[in-house]
Amino acid sequence: MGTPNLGKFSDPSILILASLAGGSKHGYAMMEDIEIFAGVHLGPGTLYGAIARLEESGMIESLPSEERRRPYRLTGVGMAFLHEQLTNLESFASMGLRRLANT
Amino acid sequence: MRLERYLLALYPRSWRARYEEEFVAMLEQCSFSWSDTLTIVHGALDAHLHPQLGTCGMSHPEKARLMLRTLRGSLLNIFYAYIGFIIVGCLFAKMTEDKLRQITSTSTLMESLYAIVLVNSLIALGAMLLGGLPVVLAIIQSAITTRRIKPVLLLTVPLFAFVALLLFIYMPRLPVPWLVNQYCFATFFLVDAFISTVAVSSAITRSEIPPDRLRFAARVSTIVTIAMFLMLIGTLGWGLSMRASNPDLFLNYYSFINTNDINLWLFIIIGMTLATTVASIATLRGIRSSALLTTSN
Repeated sequence: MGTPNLGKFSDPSILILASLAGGSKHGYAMMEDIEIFAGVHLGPGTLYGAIARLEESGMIESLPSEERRRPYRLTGVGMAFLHEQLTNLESFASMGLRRLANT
Repeated sequence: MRLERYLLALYPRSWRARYEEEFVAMLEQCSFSWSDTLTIVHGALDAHLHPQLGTCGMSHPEKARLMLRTLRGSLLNIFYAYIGFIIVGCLFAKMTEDKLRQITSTSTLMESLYAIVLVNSLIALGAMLLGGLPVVLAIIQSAITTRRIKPVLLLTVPLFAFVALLLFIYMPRLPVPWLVNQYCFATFFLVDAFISTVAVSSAITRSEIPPDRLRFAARVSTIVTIAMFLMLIGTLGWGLSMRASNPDLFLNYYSFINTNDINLWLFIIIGMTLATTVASIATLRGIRSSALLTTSN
């Protein structure tokens, strides 16, 4: 799978994808969830900049609105991309831990 | 919350049509810090630089129409920025026509910086004509095809405005103080420029212009924007070296409309910076929408 260019929004994008991996959410719920599981506060402009990019690249899709709030969910492309990114991160973390153990 | 809602107006219309409602619903749920508010401003700038954001769910023809509108809007913004730049550039020319011009010629550095401004003003004008003439021809062709003469009449407004300006310059001076005459000229010049700009932009929005002409104009507008940036650098450098070499004169010399030259120079720098920023954003937006227009067709 080709890696889409998410520019400086790549980090918020991964956080959003990870948040949506736990189920569909609207903007504010994503913001709260990311703050809890990653300790990162995404500002509203940053959050929606990343949502717009992810939607454009087909990694997330919107569901019908609920009282003006629109929930989003992961697509197959988004799941595959998140899996790839997290696997890379996992091998990077294991390699770093192995090196630390040898010092 | 109120400020954040106002800041939403900074986003492009297509982005607002897609995300505004849910964005406002999110803003209503909690209070935000100043840094959160700044992310809205940054997000708006980002949305302008990436015109494809917010077009998700649109069909290809809808996307193509939106990109064509975005491209035309970007070119108009470059045109407005250029006119704004020219107005403050004329102030710079007026400011440097007497004593400051003589001092400029005594220093190689100041003379070189002044030459940068002069050469790039010609480059920007040439590029503006190169990109603008095919658009003007398209407006005339469109007027002939649709048998609507109004856009062509609108294009003649700048010519009449220029003749009116010449008449104003060469007509006998009114028996009023020198300063009043200068204020009258400045007001006439600004009104003249405003009417001409509105007329030309109105002719562009009322006509069917082929996308390839707009694409060509978008490419050429890069030259205009680079020339504007170089003129800004030249004017900034010229002022700094003038202040370093002749601090007293630059601080205490009063020229056009009895303004202190350091204040006038600062005003020119602020005006040029604003115009160059608008032109840079519009150029990037224009080039990107032009590329997206090609892929949407």
